[in-house]
Amino acid sequence: MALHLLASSFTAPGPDRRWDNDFLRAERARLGLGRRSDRMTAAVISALDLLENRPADAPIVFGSMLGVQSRITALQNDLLDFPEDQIGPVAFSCSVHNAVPGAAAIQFGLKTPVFSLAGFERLPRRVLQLADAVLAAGGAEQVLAIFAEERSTFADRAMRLLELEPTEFAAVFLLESAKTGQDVFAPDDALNYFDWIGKLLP
Amino acid sequence: MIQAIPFHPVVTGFAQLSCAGTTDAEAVALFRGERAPAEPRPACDVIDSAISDPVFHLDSFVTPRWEPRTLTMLRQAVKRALERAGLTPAMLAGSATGCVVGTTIAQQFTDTAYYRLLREDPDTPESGPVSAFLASNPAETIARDYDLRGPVNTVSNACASGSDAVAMAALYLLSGQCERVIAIGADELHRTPVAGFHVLGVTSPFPCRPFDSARAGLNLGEAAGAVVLETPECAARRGVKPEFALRGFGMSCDAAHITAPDTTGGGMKRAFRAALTRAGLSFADIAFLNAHGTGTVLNDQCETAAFAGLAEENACDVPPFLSTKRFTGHTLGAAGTVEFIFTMLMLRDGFVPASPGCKNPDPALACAPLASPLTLPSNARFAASTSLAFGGADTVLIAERLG
Repeated sequence: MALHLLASSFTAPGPDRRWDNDFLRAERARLGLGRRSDRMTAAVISALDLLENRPADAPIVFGSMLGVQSRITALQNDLLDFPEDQIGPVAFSCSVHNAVPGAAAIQFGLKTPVFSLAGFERLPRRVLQLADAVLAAGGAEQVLAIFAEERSTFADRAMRLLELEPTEFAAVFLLESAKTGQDVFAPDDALNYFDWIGKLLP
Repeated sequence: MIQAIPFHPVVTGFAQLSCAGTTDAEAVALFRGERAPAEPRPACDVIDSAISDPVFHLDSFVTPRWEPRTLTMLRQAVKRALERAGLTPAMLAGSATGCVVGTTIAQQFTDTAYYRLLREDPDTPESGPVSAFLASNPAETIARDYDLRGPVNTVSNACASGSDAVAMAALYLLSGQCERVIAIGADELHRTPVAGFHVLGVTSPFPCRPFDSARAGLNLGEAAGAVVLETPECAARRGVKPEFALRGFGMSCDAAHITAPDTTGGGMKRAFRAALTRAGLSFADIAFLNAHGTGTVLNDQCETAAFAGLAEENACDVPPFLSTKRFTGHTLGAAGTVEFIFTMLMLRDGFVPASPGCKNPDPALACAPLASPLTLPSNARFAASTSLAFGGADTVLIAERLG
């Protein structure tokens, strides 16, 4: 892997390891996000908005272990509360794994490919490996690698089983192929996913 | 900038299981009209759902109680595809073979009973279902099954996931990260999408009729497909003479709406142009198109606008096109892989059926699908399969029948 980091941006958690809801509310208003902007979507779009030199045509490689938990939980609550399966349509359509990067693409008019990855083993390496492949063979000069995790009762349980301290974050990395002599951006496999992100947070 | 690719990944094995059949012969017999298509059944009769929309369920496929159905299906497809590719577990173990699985259901924790438990008691000591979920990520499972050491990823790009798995496999091969990738698409019928598509008002009360003026929406279905892709050199070293290649692929994002496709076909056209550029082909070279064709009005408007627009750009006719969803239902994350396989089977057989379910093409569409079966000329080499998805995803795969 030979990636060079051009810029990064984060929506970092507060001391309680959650995004600040007042901050997200203000970002929703500032960015003109509509009703589809759940917490994770707002956090990712906020981070992307603040990214320096954000390109107009970079493919997105999005990685999240557990996806958009507020929507998934709402969907499951609907299934529990309405035995006739009358779930909320927005909860359904925004619960799919690519809804967050899809919403980001809409917000910034990115008409480039979007890849939404899920997994539990070495997710950072896999996201960056695909970013590397997209740069090498996908006709792109830059790639946006996005990582995001959201907490919920279920997510906290899953994160603890993975020996991770439950934490919310959205992290955006603008990458290009590393040229000779440039620093190489790669995950530190000695660290777990959250510790790696934690070291990068400002 | 996208350019013609330096080599075309070859397909050395493939297999699918769907309501179109579980063998090539069954699927081809269906396409030729020698077998009747499966009839969808009420969802509430075959899965845990209160909804009675018709769905395509693989009745004959039995799933062990302890394993997610999607995983059982995709393991079966992978096993058969590898056998056809002449690859044994011993040959794969420890090799730099990659694995990409496209799915929607299998990447999300959907155990409603466990959510009830968590809601009633957030501190419940029961964690078994969560542990099982964490251990059953599809791509990670296949990589463990065969001890694969190449790139491994589960991609969940909604209904384009299966096509995107194939496109990602090609990116890994073209970038030199590995020489062989198993690309898989798989999804079981599940209460969540059955309820979700129902409340979106896009499910049909009768078998779907893509591109027909009387269409009423889609039927969901379940399927799994697996395609073994290798660099030509890798296949040649094994003495394999592949029958097909992935000639080109293209992806785009509408950046317009989270669920509805861009009905001008703009995103699909961009994806198609990218696929044609990589393939070094013109739209006129495409013998036929296997469209996404779910049976919704917006899908039909989007795809026909794209096909007609591309024909105009290339000063050619719209290639004959069809949708196979009447045979299988919309199999979500499996659709792209399974329909790429159908495209290869039709190229091999030299026969393309009339678009099933379409009796009276919608006159408001920019072009009409195949009204009668088509015997392909002997020199027909290229055909395309298209996918659309939530999130505005558009993907095009171009198959090549090799000499």
